[in-house]
Parts: sequence; C-alpha cells; structure tokens
Amino acid sequence: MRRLIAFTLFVGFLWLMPLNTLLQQDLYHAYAAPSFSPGNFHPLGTMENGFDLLVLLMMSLRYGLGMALLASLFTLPLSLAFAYAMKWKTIHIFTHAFLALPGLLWSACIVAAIGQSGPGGLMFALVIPGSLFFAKLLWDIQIPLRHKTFFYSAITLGQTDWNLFSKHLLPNLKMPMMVQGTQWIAQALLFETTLSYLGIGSQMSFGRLLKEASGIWMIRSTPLIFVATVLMATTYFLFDLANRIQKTDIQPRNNLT
Amino acid sequence: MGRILDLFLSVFVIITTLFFLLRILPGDPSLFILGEHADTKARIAFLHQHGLDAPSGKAYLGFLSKLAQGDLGNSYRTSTPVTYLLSQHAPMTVGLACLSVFFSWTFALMAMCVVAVPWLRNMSSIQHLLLLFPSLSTALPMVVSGPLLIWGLSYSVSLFPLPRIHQVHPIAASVLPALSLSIPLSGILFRQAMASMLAFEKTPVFMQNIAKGHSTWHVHLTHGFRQRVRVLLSLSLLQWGALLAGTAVTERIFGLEGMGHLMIGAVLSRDFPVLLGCALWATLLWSLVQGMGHFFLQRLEGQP
Repeated sequence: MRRLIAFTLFVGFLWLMPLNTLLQQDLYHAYAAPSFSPGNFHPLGTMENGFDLLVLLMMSLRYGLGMALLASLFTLPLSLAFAYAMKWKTIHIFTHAFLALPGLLWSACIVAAIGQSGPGGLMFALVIPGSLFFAKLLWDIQIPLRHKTFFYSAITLGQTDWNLFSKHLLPNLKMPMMVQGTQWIAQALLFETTLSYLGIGSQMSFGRLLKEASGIWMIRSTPLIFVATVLMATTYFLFDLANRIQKTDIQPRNNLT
Repeated sequence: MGRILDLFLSVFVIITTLFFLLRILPGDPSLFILGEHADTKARIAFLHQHGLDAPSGKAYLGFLSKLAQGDLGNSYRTSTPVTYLLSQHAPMTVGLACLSVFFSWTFALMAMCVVAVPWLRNMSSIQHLLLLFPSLSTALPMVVSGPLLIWGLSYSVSLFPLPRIHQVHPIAASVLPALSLSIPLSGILFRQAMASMLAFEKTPVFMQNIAKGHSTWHVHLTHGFRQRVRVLLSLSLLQWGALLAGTAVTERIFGLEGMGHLMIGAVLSRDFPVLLGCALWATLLWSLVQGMGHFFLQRLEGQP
C-alpha cells in the first residue's frame, strides 16, 4: 500500500513536466494583458515582466530537482572513490579535516575559486562537499563489515585490496548507499535553493526566484509564500517517503507507521 | 592534547587547500574588483599589489609567515585589514548562533515537558502538532522559513522589528533571525528529546519508580534528565556546523552584518583574503565548540 502511495506521488510529480508549453501560452496571455496582481488566469499574479509566478515557481523547482538528481548521480560514484581512497592514512586525515568547515561554506569557497556561479559552478559546489560527507559515511558503515568472518576469510584467501572492496564491501554498501542517496536528493534540492538564494547558484533556480520575489511578498502579502512553502515541503516529503520505504525494506522491524 | 593537534591539522588542511584552490582555479579577482572592462595596466598593477602574480609556492610561504604573526592581509575591495573586519562581524554571528541554540533547547525542553505530563501528552491535537513540527522543520530550508517568519511575525503582526527597516538594538533585531535559524535544529532536538523520553519510560528504572508511587514528572526529572541533556548536547554539537552555515543564510535574509554576510560578499566579489579569514574563523569556532562540548559531555558522563 505504501509503495502504491509513493508511486502515485511520484507519478503526480509529473505535473511539473508539461510546463514549457504552459509557460509559452502564459507568456502570450501575459504580454497581451500584463497584470501585476492575482487574478483568475494568474492565481499568484505576475512578475513585473509579465511572467506568471505560479508557473515560474514550478519551473524553478523542477530545475532545482533536476540539478539535485544530477548532483546525486555524480556524488555517489565520487564518494565511493573517496571512501576507497580513505584506506590511505593521509587521505583519511584530510577527509576528516575537510569536514571541519561546513558544507555550505565549502560550496561558497568552491564557487569563488571557479569564478562562475552558473550551473557548472553550482554542480561542483554540490558534488564536492556531498562526496566528502558521503565518503565519511560509507567509511563508517564499512568498518563493522571488516570484522565479519567472510571478510577475514577473503583476506586469508589472499584477495587483493580492490577485490575485497568490490566483491565483499561494495555489495553490502549498496543498500545503505541507495537509502542515503535518496535522502541526498532532497538535501541537495534544499542546498541548491539556499545557494541560489545567496546569489551563488543559477538564475533559473527556486532560490533566486524567492530572492527576487521576497520584496513583492512584503508588498502584496499574496498566498505566494504559502504556495512556495507547500511546493518545497511536498518535494522534500516525497523523497523522505521514498527514503523511509527503502529503510523499511532493509530493516522490516523499523517499519514506520 | 590530541584535540589541539586535530584543531591545528584541520586549520592547516583547510587553509592550504583553499589557498591553492583560489590561486589555481580560474576565478580572477581583478575582473570582479576592477570590472570586466578595466585597463590591462590597471589589472596588472592590481595583481602585483596583492601578490597575485607571484609563484604560488612563494605566495603560500609568505601567507603562512604572516598568518603566524596574526596578519591575514587586507581586503581587496576596501583595503581594510581582514582581522579588523572579522572582529567587527564575528560578535553578531556568535550571538545569533548562541541565541538560536537557546531557542532550540527551549523548544526541546518544552517537548520534554509535554511528554512528561500524561494528560497533556494524551491530547490528540498536541500529539499531531508534536509529530508535524520536526518533519516540517527539516523540509523547509531557511530561505523559505525566513521570509515566512518575516511575513507572519514582522510584516503582518508587527511583533518583531526588522533590522533593515527599524532602528533597534542589535539584540532585539536578532530575535527573529535567531528564531528562523533555530527551526531546523529545534526539529531535530524536539524529535530526539521526545524519542529519548519515551524510550526511558520502557526502562526498569522508570517502571520501578512508578511502582513505588512516584509521578511520571518526578521520575523524569530525577532520573532521566541527565541522560536527556547528554543527548541534546551531542546533537547540538553534531549540528553546530549546519548552524554556522545557517547563519550565513539568515544574515543574508535579514540583512544582518555578520560573518556569513561578510563571507558571501567575499565570494561574490572574489575577495580572497576575506574569504580565507572567514574560513579560518569558521574552522576555529567549529573546533572550539566541539572541544568544549566534548569536555561537558565527559563531565556529564562522570569521566575525568
């Protein structure tokens, strides 16, 4: 039942898909009769340039979600590589030391170093701190596995480091990685929104739109704040739900009601 | 001793990595400070003045020797010493973070009180509220919850003054930002405090005391409080990094002149000395808080 609900919610999420055509139609109407205040055709009103705010919110959220998904795709393999490299003492110490600076500040520094704050810089800013954090997490998860009988047997049989990692540790890390990966998508979305709000991310992002719209909110006090809140919370809860389902699959005793 | 070594190592690794990242990667500060259409001679003079044309190794050694004397250089934008900028902006951020920790602990203690009082806990509306708050607090980033609070508590109700609009005392101005900053931490502490209280009720210690005729409230207060404080302290320590990063966002939303504001400004204008100074400050503060927290945790656990 829970899977069905999750699937329905994910399919329901596809309402974000046909927005390109909606935006085009909207632009036509918006320029034909530009209006700043909410009305029947524009439930939240329009920006000064005629863009419908609701469509823009949904578009920017979809963009953020796309970035978060892409970042997760890069983060997981990179974190595996970092986790494998952490067997060397120096890299282990360095990874721990890196975590002394919060992820958001690392991201800010990376964007400053790259010198651009577009999608490319944003992707680096999401992937590198995320990979370091995941590597530490994976390292912590695999420590108990190294003390299991099957691992000692494999060492006794003379298997190489790479074989031990790929044949004995990786299959056991697969499920925790999936669980954490799902959670990371939601986290990356929040992260991306925050970075964009600070002016480090992309122009199309939800955060940038919130930044631009925050002045309008204060003047008009429209339901825009609540719509933005609901959109963001729904997106987060979708991934949170998927994450909980995966956790239940791994440990049925942790079944969350 | 080990912790002090860890602190120095963390600072060294972060500063070294950032220094070389900022020098090697293609973000040229002269383009941002002087503008894209600046004269080539002016750009060369700028690079020479700030030692950006020197070899990286030589510049790094120079930076380290200055750092050992407590000199972090001057800002590219304003030529102000970075140490002066840090001393001007740091109190606001530290105050904001401490105030938000205070609010988070207050919320967590309120949750513990609700759980400890049976008639309050059994009210279904309170139960739903208690379950909803932690989930909602983690789902909303500060960029959404901050403006929401401004709209709700400052613009609509005029309960809290806004620092950008009203001339108020810095402490009064930082109440609403601290409240906004405390929301994610509150959610986590709230959930853990409740879970920990409920788990304690299943232990033999609790049941024995209830069988002796003590009230739930009394047993929680006399036997479970120390353990709850330890859980809250551990979690607050774990979340300190996120809190520190959150101050950057909160200061930006509410227009406060703190370290986060300074750092984001430095990122946007590629003001490398300020950026390095802010990173150094954040790492030091993080390590200091972790060290203090571990000390208190050991005291709570009764270890020497």
